[in-house]
Amino acid sequence: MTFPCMSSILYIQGGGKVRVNVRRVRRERGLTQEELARKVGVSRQTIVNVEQGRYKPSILLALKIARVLDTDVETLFKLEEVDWR
Amino acid sequence: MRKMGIVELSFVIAGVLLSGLWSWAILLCLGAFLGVLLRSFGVVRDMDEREEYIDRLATYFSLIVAMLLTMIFFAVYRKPNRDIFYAIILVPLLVRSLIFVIMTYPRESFVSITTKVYGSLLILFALLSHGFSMSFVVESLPGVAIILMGILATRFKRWAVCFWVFAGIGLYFFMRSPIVSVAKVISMVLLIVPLVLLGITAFMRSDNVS
Repeated sequence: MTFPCMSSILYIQGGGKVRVNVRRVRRERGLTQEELARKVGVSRQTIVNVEQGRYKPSILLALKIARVLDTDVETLFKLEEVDWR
Repeated sequence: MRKMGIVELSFVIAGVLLSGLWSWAILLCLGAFLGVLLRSFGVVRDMDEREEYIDRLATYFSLIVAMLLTMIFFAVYRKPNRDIFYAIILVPLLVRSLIFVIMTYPRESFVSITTKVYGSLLILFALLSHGFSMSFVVESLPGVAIILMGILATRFKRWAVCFWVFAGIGLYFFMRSPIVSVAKVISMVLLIVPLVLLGITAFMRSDNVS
């Protein structure tokens, strides 16, 4: 018996959906969640939540992640047409 | 567990214990909000932005719970007593801590932190009630068992059922006598709710991905 994880039940942060490509780019760069978290100065759990789209990072954190992954923010976070309301 | 969390918990325990001797000591419970205040002023920086967001969210929910409890007690009892005041102070703080820990840490850490804090508190209260005696040993057994269950449930999911068994036993003892008092309801909420949550969380999917 397995329940879904608690943070997906307690998803409260508002706003539309954003397609998150952080995990794909991170894996392409050969970084682990722990390493990325250490480089941007957050907890690994925050990276887990950002990758799973459960937490939308601030502009500052998004820029830091983009810089560490050597890419731009638009590559990591994409606003879908359907979310443009 | 963070240093600030330990400091906050110590303030609450000190406030509750010392309030029996000097009622104004209950103000020490405000120490539970020390971390969130110091972080708001930028004095302490021990959390990342997501954790700070959850900390504020948990504080907001604790306010709602405090208001709700106050209104319920006002509607039901009209005149406040000591037990009601303890409920209004402690239950929102419990809700705040549980929301923060459950949303911030991975499943394993939530179970580990909560069982250690919860078990240690039971042992501490047994020690304060009886000193070093045989009664202390007997009354501290549930605390020791909860810490052990926490260690086992993080490794083997099936052991999580024991939390529900504990909660069931606790509920049975509270329900056995027909007299319903505020103190009984508070004790039940403070003891049973974390156990039920621990049982649910221990069965949850882990967030561990590479």
